Amino acid sequence: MIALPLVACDDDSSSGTTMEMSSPIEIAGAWARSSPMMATMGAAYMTIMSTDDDRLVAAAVDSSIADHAEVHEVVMAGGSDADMSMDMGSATTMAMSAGEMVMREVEGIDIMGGEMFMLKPGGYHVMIIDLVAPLEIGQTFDVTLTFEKAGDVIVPVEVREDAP
Amino acid sequence: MSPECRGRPSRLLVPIVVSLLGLVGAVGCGGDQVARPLTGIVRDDPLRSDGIIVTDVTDTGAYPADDDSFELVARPGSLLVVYFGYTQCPDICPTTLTEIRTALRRLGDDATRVDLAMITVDPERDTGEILNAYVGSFTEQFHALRPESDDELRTAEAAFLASSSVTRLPDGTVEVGHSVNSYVVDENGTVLVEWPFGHGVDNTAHDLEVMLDTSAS
Repeated sequence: MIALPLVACDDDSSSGTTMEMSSPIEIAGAWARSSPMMATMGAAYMTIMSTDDDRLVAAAVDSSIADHAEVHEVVMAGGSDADMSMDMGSATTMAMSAGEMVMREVEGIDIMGGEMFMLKPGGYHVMIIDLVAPLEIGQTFDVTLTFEKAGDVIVPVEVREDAP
Repeated sequence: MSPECRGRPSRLLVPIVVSLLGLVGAVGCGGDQVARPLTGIVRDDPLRSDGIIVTDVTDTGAYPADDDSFELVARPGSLLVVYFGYTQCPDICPTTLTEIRTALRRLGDDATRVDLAMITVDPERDTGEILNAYVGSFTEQFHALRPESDDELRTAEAAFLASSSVTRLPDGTVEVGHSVNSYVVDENGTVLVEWPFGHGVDNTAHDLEVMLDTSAS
């Protein structure tokens, strides 16, 4: 079961799991960016909260949306490491050394119990691979997140031009 | 200290504040009203892109290419936003280009004086057709640039101190890395300002307004 700010838990039609207590996983603010024309890849973002320590290990979408989904991170690649050491963490450094950013799949994301973990532009995201059709503003589609302990969580994702 | 100076503006308050300041033509980070009118990165010794030519494959939008080359300078009285990216980029490129698009909308009629040039760092997969449709999603006034050789791409990147790499991994996936800044070039080929990734719509719109005001005077 999932809890979203505007959606009641019992809207969800997940796999018949009966929850006596609320799920340890809560997802908020799930959105995906509308696709530029000819874009074959999409990205979904959201805030994950878990009452228990857990690990996000997979993501999936229905085949009517795309071929498959993966969890990705964006990291600074090699390149100008010497410059990067000058002033870590500042946007100015990123520009001055023009470090490359690379996106890559991650095996899992550890979620600490009681803390929020944000998937957001420029950071972690659910990459939606080989879109069947461009994602359009106003569309909603499901992303199924798989957690090591909590199992599958279905997240309705709203397609928007930008973050809510 | 105004949060917008760090490129992480509050979404609620700053749009009002920055647009007012932008109209006035100056913004300060805290009490400094005049010394840093642009929120992006300005170099004492600006980069230059005049003389940098990239193969132009634009066939739609406002500027279908008459010939197949484009020099990275703005039209007279206008600005050219230059961005290096690729269309299969799911996160960084759409985020940045969406910010630019949203910023352009805020300019109203002045947006006609801002053009966007996107240079693909992945010319093998980004065909002309794909690139035109992709960049055209963000503005009518665009140049779809697709380097025909590695040299051509590296020369353009070098002018902006940008870089990129395309790596085909053993499992068949393609990993593309690229520097994620945007650059604004004037009609002389001077890079007026550089915006790092995540610069934000408010800062972007503000800088465009300031630069357009400056070049109009």
